Amino acid sequence: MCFIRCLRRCATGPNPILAKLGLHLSNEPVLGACIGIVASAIVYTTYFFLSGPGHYLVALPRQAGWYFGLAGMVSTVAIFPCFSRLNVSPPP
Amino acid sequence: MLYGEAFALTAALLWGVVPILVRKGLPHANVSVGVLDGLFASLPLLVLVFTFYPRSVIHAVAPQAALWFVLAGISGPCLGRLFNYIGVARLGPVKSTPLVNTAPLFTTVFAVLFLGEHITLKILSGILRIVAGAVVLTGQQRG
Repeated sequence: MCFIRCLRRCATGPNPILAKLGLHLSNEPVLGACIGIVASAIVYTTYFFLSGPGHYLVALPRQAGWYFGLAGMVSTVAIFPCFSRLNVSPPP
Repeated sequence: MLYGEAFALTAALLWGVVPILVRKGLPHANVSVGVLDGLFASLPLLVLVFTFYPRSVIHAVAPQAALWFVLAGISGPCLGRLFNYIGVARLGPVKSTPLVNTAPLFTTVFAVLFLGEHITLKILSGILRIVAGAVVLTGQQRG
């Protein structure tokens, strides 16, 4: 349990740093966020189907699908102000 | 300056809703499917952005910058989201969210190491308060 918490914190921690490094090179927060999400969708979809639980996707109840879909969309929308905040923050 | 803070607060507000939605969906499906569903649900939004954004990606974003954005995407929306959903599934949104909110501590360490940013006393004080808040909330829930 502690391991998962640490992984979550360590996975989220470098995210703004990586985004900021990208924004230093190309000052495009909206496109940067989109590129990141597309990359994460490709990587995760590959992992998901290679790891084998593909049959769960077929059995996903509609209600859960709506909740997870909405959660994903809200998370994605939240990435845009996050990238924009990094963009407007003063240089180091 | 308030402009940047408004963006940060908007992101925090939106992320605050996510654990509740995840918890609502979890009794009916597992975490892996939930993450995939969320990522797929976001794709129409991305198509809209790529279509209607005034500048094309190829011209606006340098390849090196794209690489950093890809890594940011893998660390945040992919790994971060997966572990966040697992945390919500096992601990519940009330217990997992304060722990997730200790992320500024890690971000600050990485910012100092990789961006060479300087920590002021004000920033350090803010981070310590966030972490202390998370510790207090987690301790209270255990007790």
